[in-house]
Amino acid sequence: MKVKVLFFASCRELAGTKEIAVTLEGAENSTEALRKKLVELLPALEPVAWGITLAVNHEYTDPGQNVQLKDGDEVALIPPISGG
Amino acid sequence: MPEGAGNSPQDQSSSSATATSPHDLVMVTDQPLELSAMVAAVAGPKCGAISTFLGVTRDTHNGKTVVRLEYEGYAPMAEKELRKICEQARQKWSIEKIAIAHRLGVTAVEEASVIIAVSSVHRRESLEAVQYCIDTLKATVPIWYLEVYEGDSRVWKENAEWSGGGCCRQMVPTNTTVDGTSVAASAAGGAQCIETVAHELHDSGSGAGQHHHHHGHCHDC
Repeated sequence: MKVKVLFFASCRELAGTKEIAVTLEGAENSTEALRKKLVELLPALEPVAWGITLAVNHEYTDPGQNVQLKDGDEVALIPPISGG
Repeated sequence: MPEGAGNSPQDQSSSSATATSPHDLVMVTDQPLELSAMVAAVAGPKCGAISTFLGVTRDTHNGKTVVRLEYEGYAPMAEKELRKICEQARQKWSIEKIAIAHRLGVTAVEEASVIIAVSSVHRRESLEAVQYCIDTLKATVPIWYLEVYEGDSRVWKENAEWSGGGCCRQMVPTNTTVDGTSVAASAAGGAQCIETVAHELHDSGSGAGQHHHHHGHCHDC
């Protein structure tokens, strides 16, 4: 299955891109598996990838929560926000 | 009695201001923000009070000269979070209309990056709701800015209010007292959410009971 991953602000600069498509195979269908895959694909994300807040389809996930993903999901890495 | 009993303008606007907030305006835009347009968006014949907040780019931070801010946002999610804030404010206060707009892109010094306008029959509701809206926005809405200083150094900023997005589902780890010392979350707090009441900040002389909660502007409780 394929998910869309979005990067913002400091994460976008680390990743060097705003968006990538990531293919997850077989049992690799969770946000934990996605974090691992992202570090493989974009090693510059290593310092932040394991702990950063994720949003799945425009909703925050709980810290430490391993969310099941499905084909077509949009996952965003959300560094500490600074709106306002 | 004519059909649709509430045929005065007041009754009509009353029946349309439901908890699902059909008239609230939320906007994330790369266009300059206009206070007058935001005020117009919440004005109405029943509104005796319109309260507004503008977040504006200032020219210094910790002694460094700020040239501009560069805002970036996850627009669809930001608008979704802004709608949640409107709904939460409506649950807490009797409000006529809410309008929240956040700018993206470059803002120069003195330009507004955020404008919030809230209308209510009397002043208290809209004043308190405006404060709630900006405090919660800073904790939950996925928008970022890069502060660019004279000489081209730059920093991605982080709001003190941010608690990782899992705001309400997470226990508030510590509370910060008004004098800046950290204390353990009280037993009374438990795993409940603690809501910030910003005017507590001004009561620093009134004793140990006053806290400023740095984290956890919780919006679901």
